[in-house]
Amino acid sequence: MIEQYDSKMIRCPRIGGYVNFKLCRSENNMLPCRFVAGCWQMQIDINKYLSEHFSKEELDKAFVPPKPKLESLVATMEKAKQRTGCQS
Amino acid sequence: MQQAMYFLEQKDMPTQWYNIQADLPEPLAPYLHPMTKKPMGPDDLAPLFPMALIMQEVSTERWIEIPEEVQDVYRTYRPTVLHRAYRLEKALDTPAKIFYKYEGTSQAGSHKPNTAIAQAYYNKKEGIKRMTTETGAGQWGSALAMGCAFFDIELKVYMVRISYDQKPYRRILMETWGANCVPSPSQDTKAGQAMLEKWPDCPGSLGLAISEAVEDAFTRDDTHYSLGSVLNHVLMHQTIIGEETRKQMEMADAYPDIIVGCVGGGSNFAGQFLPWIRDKISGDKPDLRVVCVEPDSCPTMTRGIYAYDFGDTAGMAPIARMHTLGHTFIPPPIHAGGLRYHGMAPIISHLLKLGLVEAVSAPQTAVFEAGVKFARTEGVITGPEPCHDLKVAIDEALKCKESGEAKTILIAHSGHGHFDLAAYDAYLSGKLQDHVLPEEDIKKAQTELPEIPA
Repeated sequence: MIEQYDSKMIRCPRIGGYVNFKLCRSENNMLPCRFVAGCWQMQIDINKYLSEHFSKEELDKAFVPPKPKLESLVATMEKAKQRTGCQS
Repeated sequence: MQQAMYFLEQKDMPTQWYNIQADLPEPLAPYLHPMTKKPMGPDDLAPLFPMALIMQEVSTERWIEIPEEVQDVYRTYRPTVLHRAYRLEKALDTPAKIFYKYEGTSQAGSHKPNTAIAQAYYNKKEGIKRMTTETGAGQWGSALAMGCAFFDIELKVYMVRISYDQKPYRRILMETWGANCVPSPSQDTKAGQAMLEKWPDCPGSLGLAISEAVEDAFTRDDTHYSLGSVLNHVLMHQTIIGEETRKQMEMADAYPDIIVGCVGGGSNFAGQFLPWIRDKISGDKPDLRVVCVEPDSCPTMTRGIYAYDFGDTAGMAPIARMHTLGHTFIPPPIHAGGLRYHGMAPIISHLLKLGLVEAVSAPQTAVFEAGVKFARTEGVITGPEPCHDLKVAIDEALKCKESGEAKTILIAHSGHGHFDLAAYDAYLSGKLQDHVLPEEDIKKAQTELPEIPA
């Protein structure tokens, strides 16, 4: 059951406060946070959980490290252009 | 009498930022656009940033004048004080002389206003009436809110919703300074709307908040976006810290043997050490040590390699030369600081490659142990990030105790931890854990670097 750990709490170093596992498994556009393995490895068998509930393609998509900000902004702008149809 | 504080007169505050790009033995590699693989130009960034900042990003002028209007605002909190940590020295029983330059006395409690104020000014000068940014816990958002207040610029901050709900104090700071702080996801952008349609109670994420802030700026002619770390011009705005410190160390009749600071986006530490490292580049101070400290859980500099690396796994983001663990590396984020970043600021990576700076890592429990020791000797509750500096400074001071050397250690202290007390609580209650990345994980990630066209 994908919800089995949803009520467990952890301090999220990105957010700077306590969050539940539901956020960690879905905050990345409905996929797990890219840091979920490191954060939760001490509390649950996170690798088993991930392999049981997500495909390899989903995990490959989710486990993207933080991007260098300047470059990622260009990509984010491109996405905004597509979303809004706006040409700045 | 022991002089424990060194005050610089306001009339002696530096009036120029120092640009390390003028003195680099080798120039920085250019950013490459993800689609063309060719160097990015100013036009690629013009929708988001004022041209003055884009030009500063690539400038090779050694000194950049700080505009009078920016100096006026700096003088509401600058020069900051250089402290001599006598009580810490005594507690460690070390012959080392420990100094720390403390940026926690700015109105926002950190070094971040040094660039927030400058960025607000340049946007105002270019006719921009409104700015956007994202924030997690609210440190950058509050600094920029203050900067925008000084220049009468409207600011919209997209704050990750869970922080917005759980941590009201930074939000209240932002609102007090006049910013419009909204929880992300919001109904104000297409990105936010799309997420809320899928997940009405979505607690948000930093990535989504960035998407909202960028979309907002991109779709309005009167609006720009603002970033508080990593970029060359951001690091340059912070060099006022080191330029002040040079004058203050002269007042103390001292010169550092070792400068230590934490590196995340790198802006505070670079602001301190860049003005000193020119002495090393010129050959005047070949033995000066500049020590960058990073968490054990994300050893970008200490165990990373220097290579080209895509910014994302899809290969869509541009490519930059930087220290990296490879784009498939997943840092285990179980440390409490905000230093998790798989690629360092390009300037710092470059200096590491050239052998001008060195890097060490520290486990989080030892980092907080150092923070607590500093609090109990010097009285300052240090933010989680600069606690890394304290850990390494204490280690170096203890080495001096062993060797009997009276080295001078300078700490780049970026700010207080008054809004990070939960991290201290976790340490004091034994909830923090240490994690050292296994060597095989690093080797695996490094095998997947992309090929670069000649």
